[in-house]
Amino acid sequence: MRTYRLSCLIFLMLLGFPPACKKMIRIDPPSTQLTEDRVFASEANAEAALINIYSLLGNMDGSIIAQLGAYTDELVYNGTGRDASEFGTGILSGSNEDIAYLWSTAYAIIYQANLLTKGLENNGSSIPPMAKQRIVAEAKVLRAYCFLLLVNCFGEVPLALSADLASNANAPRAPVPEIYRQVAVDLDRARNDLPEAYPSPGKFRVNKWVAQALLARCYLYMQDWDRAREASDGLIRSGPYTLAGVNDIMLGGNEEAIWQLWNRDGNSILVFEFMPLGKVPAYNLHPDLVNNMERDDRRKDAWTGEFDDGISRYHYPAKYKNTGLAGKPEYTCYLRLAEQYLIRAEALAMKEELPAALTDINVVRSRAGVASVHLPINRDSCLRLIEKERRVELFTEGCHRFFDLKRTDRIDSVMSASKTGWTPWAKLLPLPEHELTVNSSLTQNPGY
Amino acid sequence: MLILALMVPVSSHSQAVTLTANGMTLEKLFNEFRRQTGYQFIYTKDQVQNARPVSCKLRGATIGEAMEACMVAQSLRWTIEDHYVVISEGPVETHRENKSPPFDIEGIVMDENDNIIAGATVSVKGLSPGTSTDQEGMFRLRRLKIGSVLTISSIGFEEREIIADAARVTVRLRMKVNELDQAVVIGYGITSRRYNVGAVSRITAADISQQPVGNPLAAIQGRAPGVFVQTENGLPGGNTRIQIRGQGSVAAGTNPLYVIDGVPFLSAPFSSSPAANGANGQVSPFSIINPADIQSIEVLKDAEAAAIYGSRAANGVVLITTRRGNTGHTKFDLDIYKGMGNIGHRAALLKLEDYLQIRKEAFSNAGLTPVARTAPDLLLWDQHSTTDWQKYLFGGTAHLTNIQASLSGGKGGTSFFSGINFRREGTVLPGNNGNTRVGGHLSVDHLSPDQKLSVSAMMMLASQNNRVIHSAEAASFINLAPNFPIYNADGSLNWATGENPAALLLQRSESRTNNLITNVSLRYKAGRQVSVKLNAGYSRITLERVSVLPKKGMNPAYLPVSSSIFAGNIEESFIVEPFADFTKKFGPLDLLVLAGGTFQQATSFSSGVEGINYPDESLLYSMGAAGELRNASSSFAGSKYVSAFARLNARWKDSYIVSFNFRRDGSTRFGPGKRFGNFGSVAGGWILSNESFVKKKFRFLSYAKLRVSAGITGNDQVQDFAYLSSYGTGGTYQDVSGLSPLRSANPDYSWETNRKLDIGLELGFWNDRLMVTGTYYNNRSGNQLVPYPLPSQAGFAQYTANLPALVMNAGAEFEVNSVNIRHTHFTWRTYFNITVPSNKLLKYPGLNQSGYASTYVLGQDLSVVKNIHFLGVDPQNGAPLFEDVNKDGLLRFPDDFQTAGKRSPGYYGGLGNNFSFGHFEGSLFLQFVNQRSPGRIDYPGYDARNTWEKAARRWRKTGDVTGVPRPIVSSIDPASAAVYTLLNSDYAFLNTSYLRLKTIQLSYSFAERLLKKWKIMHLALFIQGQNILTFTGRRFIDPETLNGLKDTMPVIRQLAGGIHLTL
Repeated sequence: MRTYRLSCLIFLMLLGFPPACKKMIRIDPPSTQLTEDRVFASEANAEAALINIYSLLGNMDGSIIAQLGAYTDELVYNGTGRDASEFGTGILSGSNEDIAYLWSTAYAIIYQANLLTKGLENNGSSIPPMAKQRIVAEAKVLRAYCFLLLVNCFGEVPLALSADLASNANAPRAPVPEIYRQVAVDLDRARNDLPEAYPSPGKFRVNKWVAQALLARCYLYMQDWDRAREASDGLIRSGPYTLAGVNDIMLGGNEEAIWQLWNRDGNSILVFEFMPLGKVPAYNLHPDLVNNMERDDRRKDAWTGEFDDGISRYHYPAKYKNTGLAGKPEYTCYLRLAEQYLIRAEALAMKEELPAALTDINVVRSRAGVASVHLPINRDSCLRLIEKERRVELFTEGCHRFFDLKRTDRIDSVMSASKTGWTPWAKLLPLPEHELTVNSSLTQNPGY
Repeated sequence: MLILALMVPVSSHSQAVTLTANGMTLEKLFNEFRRQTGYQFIYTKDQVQNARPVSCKLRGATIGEAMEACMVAQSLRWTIEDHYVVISEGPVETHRENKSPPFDIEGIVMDENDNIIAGATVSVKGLSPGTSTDQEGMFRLRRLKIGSVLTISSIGFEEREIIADAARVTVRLRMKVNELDQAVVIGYGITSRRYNVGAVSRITAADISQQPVGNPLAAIQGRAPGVFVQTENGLPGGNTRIQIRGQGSVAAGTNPLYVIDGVPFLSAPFSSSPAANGANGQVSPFSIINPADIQSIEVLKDAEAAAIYGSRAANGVVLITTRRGNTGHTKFDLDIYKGMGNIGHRAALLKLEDYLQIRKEAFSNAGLTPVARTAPDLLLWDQHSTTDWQKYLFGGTAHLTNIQASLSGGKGGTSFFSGINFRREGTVLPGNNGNTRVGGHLSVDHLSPDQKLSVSAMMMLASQNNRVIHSAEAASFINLAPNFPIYNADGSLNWATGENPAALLLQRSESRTNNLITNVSLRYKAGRQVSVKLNAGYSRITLERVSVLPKKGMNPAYLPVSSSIFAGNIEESFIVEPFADFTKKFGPLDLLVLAGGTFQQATSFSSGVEGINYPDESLLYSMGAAGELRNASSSFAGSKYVSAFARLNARWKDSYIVSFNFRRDGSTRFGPGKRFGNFGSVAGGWILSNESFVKKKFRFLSYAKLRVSAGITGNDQVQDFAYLSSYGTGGTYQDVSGLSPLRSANPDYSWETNRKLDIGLELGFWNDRLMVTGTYYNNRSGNQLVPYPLPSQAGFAQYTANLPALVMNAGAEFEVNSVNIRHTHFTWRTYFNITVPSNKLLKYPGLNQSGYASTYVLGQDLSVVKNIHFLGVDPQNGAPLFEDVNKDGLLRFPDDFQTAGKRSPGYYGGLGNNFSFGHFEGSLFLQFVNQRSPGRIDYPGYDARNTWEKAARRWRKTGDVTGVPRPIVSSIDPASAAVYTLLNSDYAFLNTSYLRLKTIQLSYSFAERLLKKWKIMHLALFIQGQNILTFTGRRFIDPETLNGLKDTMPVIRQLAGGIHLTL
């Protein structure tokens, strides 16, 4: 009998075991991860979350500059990649992985900026108000940069402004003016909230002038000439920037640069797409662009190169020169002063202030050693001159050629002469196929 | 010499002899004895022909008495073993001195390995009661007649009869050939195959010891039905993947739960950051466990066997039991073998002239003139000298040395086993590559004098050092152009095509793995029926790895810098399991009740960092010498488990069995609201052969059992903390490390459930000499944890959640064990198994919107392969033709992609034969798999890459009917689009079925009388071979490791010879 009693006792003890379980499986969050609330409880963590958004920008860029260059009459694609080839031929498909990457990275940046903004607004009580204001403003500039890119590439895109997955997922494609309005509001607020000094050494982060320069570009795309002029004028007059020598425009921290993309090795990743490292590089300069450069244009020597592989000769873009760890550090240029002169020139020309416009154009031309253009000139010629000047000044920098041709509505006439496969719907990129399959409310751009 | 043996199975004979012989020949007499008793007689013609005629009178005599009576006058010796009477030469005096006075006998009973058998029953035939052996295996019997027959028996051993002919005897019992009664380890207990109602496959130390493998999991391959074992990488330390009854999970892990002596061990292959991996890829944690330290491996496959492991059992459970000591002689065992390995199978590639001809054709087909940039192989490189790249990369000899020494023994209630082992294994790769493992194993068992408290403790320690080339990409170089020169004329490396095998060999990886497994088990017998137990265990495995990438090993065009990648990983697990069992016999009812609890904690920590800016390349292995450290990372994961479990097993009249298992599991892997779950199983068994109608009607049927089990298990192989919304290390900007949101919160995150059904029929024929088992299983895995795709605009591309997707794994397993011939001098056993699995995705809501839209098809296998269908070659122009399903003129996903087949095996199994002939023992084991795999195909002529031999039969001129399209050169040829299509078509989906002579073994044991002279207990010489022959296609180097487009190293053929010594 003793054993029966004992066994009963043991089983009763075992029955008492489960209630204690809940306590036994408490676990602390992992030491190498932070829960969301802790991220917004310290300035350093919030700053780190912001840093991550900058690093995503670094992931996203580079290739799209080259690809949209090849999509227009700026570059020629010479490689074998399937996705890049589509840009080269001008016939894109919804399954293009590079487009999918652009879309998903841009929205990842937008989401993380939303998350950071909301997190700081809700929880950031222990962060000094000045720091909070700056971090939120930086995040908003990065978000605006992405929306500006998206709206220019795809037209109407979902205006995802929330930190909530479901409400973002359900956001419909917003009308183009509404997107621009949001971008302008964010940038305008940011230029008031941001300090004039860069938040970190170099010109890699967003300060007041970055917001303003981007705002000038945004107003230019919106064809709001007065505001475009005001923003670029303010920057040219009050900003701490002067034009640099033609060989120096990509150097780290040069006097002309407003915003540069940091890279660990001190070189732009674009250099590996453009420079002939013993073989024909993936992208060459479009012959038409080289021909457009005037005879004594210093930019021809400084920003282009020639390569002979034994079969033919290629022109390649050479704004970026540093391929190794040695040499002067160079960085991908996002914003620089010359563009602001050309923005102001265009805004002035639109308002028939042609002498002032020519002055701005000649500032850029004379730096390149090209003769100044003088009156008389009519508005259209002046605008055409600005377009040409933008083409030879800003190539391989910010998808300018594609966006310029679109906003001036000249894309079809220029491109159908340049690419046999060009179609009227090609001015809008196709939305990634995958996005359409996972979001049934999203519609494809016409033609695809 | 002709051996006569009559192989009629023993049936129900009276076993008593009644006979009157008058000058009968011995042969006739033996035939008569056989007819009456069923005993088989083994003798030679010479023996009976030269024997004297026999006269005797017997009435109801035992076989022993009968033999004694009629062999008196013969100069022959005889012994009775099992159901055989063996006649041999040489008179034995004692047989004739049957008139001598009674005497006392003393004996010791041991097993074949000289382990003491305590509690064996010893009785004198015809007299009762007998006696039994004591703790030391000794027995004493008084006043026996010389020539009396003693019967010695013990559970798990074959009964044996001996003639009492000396005052001191040593009796060795053989382990029961009838495996039905051998112990089978199951979760929290042991059972026998006879009464087990679950699906359990067992691999014993004997199976493992036949194979010179370094990884014990590799020894299971082909030997357990329902268990698909695949070497993923043939280099030492490389991973061996085990899949039990198919892939049940879409996204979660599909590894079984491994338990070593009760302590859960790492399930997943061991890896730090992939960048730091060597060419052997992820390390199998089992590569550092010495196979010789294992007593048995039990694979639990169905719900009855596995459900007691609850939320971790969906993918099956592998129980590993380590070796332990036995009381008796202190034994010293030494095992040494040395061997060599090479690649056993080669891909058939084009010869140089064919290759060059095809390249030239490719250019001329495109109307292009080759230039140095596009065709260095035609214009710059030597047109006559060939390098055999398979020989260059895999042509080496892998040397193997394995030493294993152990000392074991014990006295009274205490026994111990202590062993050390050493293994060094080279590779077939060029250069200094290899793996060295040193390990120790200690176990102690103690039973208190009152036999109430028992303690078992075990500790296993091992350290492994691996040096190998860094990149498995080397494997893809077997297809280099046959005339590719490694060096340019000036002695520099040739980078014309952007790659160079000699450079790749300069990138190296070194790793050190350390392993500690320890456990203690306490058991207190609180009464006759109740025992209380406590198991506690701890295991820890650490990996340190460094990969060095010197600049000279990389293409200078990309301006590389020398760098090193350092990575470390620690995995720890701790477990405590108190439990109690209760066993009692109530008349015809045998009852077992077991209940207990588990607390387990597992943690894993890994870190990595990259070093650059080294002052000198010889310092690359040093982290301190790096001028700059970057890309530092670290991660931590941890989980806690708490569970309660119970089992009830009842057996009625040894014929009807029911079994219930239950487990309630709580795990921190899941969201706070979803941490607890219930799992369990119900099973029943009916031993038909105990029914009188079976006994009467089917007399050849010695054993028949029908078993059915059903139950629910879970799969928890998902990331730790995946339910938390958290931030982790993100990207870097301006050398400052960022924080990246990892995922959004999901408190409803729960485990996958897996419902298992298993029906089995086990049959034994002719005294279980032929055992046949057939099993059907049907498992359904639901509540699948899958990444649910979100549009990018939401912020995250996916959200991991439980989805009511359903995957079915069904299949049939068939197994035959047969003892074809069994007698003293010669035995022959055959073992065969085959598994025919099927896998189906039954349900997946929103499949077409998910990230798996292109991967899975409803109603098809999870490993389905979809591609464009290749129709053949157009005889007009040699272009490959494809099926354009929607006839839109384009070959595009998804409409033109058709189901081509699956990657999971169609069927697989093994066939083994074991022989023993006198002092020789041998075995042959064949393993087979029917499967297809996507392969890397190099298109004929496309670039400076060689391709398979059959490409020589390409299309050349209009009207050629062939399966190989015309050569097309790289992208400058407008036709090259077809090449992409071809590589995405079923043309590149290869038949990789194979039949392998997996194991051969031959050993010779020295005769006992020689050993006695040398004072050695056992001495054997052996040779063993692994992967000796492979019958398969010739488009690839190895069908087993071929895995889509991933480069892996082939398995190698090994041949080893050695010696086994026991003192």
